[in-house]
Amino acid sequence: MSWSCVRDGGLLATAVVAALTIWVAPVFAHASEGSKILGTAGIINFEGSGGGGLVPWAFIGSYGSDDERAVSVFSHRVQTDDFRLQTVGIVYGHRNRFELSLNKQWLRVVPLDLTIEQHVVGAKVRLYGDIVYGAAPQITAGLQYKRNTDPEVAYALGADDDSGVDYYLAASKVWLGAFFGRTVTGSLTLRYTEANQAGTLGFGGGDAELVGEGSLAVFLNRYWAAGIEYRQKPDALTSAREDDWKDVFIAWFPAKSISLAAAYADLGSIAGLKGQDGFFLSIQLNTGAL
Amino acid sequence: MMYRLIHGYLRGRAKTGALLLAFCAMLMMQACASDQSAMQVRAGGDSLYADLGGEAGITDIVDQFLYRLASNEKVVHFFQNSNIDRFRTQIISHLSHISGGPFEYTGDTMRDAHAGMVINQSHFNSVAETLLLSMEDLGYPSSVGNRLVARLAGLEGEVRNLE
Repeated sequence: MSWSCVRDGGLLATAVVAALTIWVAPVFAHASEGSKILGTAGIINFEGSGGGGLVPWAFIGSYGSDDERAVSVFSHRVQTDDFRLQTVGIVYGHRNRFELSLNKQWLRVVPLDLTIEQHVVGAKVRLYGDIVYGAAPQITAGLQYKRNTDPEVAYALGADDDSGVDYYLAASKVWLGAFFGRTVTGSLTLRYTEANQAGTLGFGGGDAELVGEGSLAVFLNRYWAAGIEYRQKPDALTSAREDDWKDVFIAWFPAKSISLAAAYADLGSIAGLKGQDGFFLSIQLNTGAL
Repeated sequence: MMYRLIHGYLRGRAKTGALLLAFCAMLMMQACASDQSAMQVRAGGDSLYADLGGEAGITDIVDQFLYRLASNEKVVHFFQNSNIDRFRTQIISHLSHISGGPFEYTGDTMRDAHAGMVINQSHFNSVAETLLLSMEDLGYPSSVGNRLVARLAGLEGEVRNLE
């Protein structure tokens, strides 16, 4: 099946990924389970980085612990009044130290009847601390190289480039049983970016900016978490205002092999189309230690 | 409410300053949490011991834990040469002690007990999860398991013989 086939059919892409992963899953079933504590691999964000849904957190993606390697595959679906975003991708976590990710995004702009496609390559390294152990938060540095392969809309709105790199520093911590016995996790991310609407509207057209992102979640029990995210956004394009993003989410970790998340996201104004709020869904399949 | 708070923080002009502030708050929250549990342990008047069901509850948990540990391929080799009865007694006594039980723990220190073992974080995680699952088997709410594992997590450096 060629990419052009799924290009305009986000749901089809999800179905393909789901079918592939269900087919591949038994191959990994023989490998021992990854050794991160359930839930502490987080949720891959829509840009392919360990997170988070809208925001990358300091988590290294996949369930591999310090002597293990593991992979996760994921897909997201975001749907607002005028936009449909679809992603598929893969993340490799190396000894809970390095993370590499590949991600493809399709943004369907309904009123214009066109699709903007973007590729994201991400890398992240754990610099200091640990998610669970010790008093210090886990601190990671990461980058996301993005290439928008349909930049016509971006150029029309005043963007300079069809590709760019985001750099970020993230600090996250999981506090076991800290809130009435419930485990709490918090994360802060500082990002240097020139991407407009995360790159879907190109790069540049104004100054690069330093933006802050954050999230807070509570594990209701070992399998369910609920939380909020906030993502400050640059506002470089004078022709189309860009708003900060926020979401309220629930995540379900029924087993280490699969995680699901659903959110209500408020994405504000995008490309001059105001009031873009809607749902956000993500599915992620995780291998055991390879 | 919390949402508005974070919204306000990040919206402010001094973005970086606000983030640092929030970050410090995160660290302080952590410091308070560990202080509190340490104090509770010292005082002996600790609700965790009671929530575990005292000595009888802890004994049940340890028995279930050992049963699960025996089939945990990741870590079972660490325990293969130990005297199971002594090991069982020591764990019961240690869990009682760290959960604020009335008896003094007189067994080996965590460093001595694990001397010569190369314990990765993956092993530590695996044992912690085995304990959580054992407690789940016995119907303990996750809040009790979390609090017990949080105290064990505080000993991670000693168990793994880290500096």
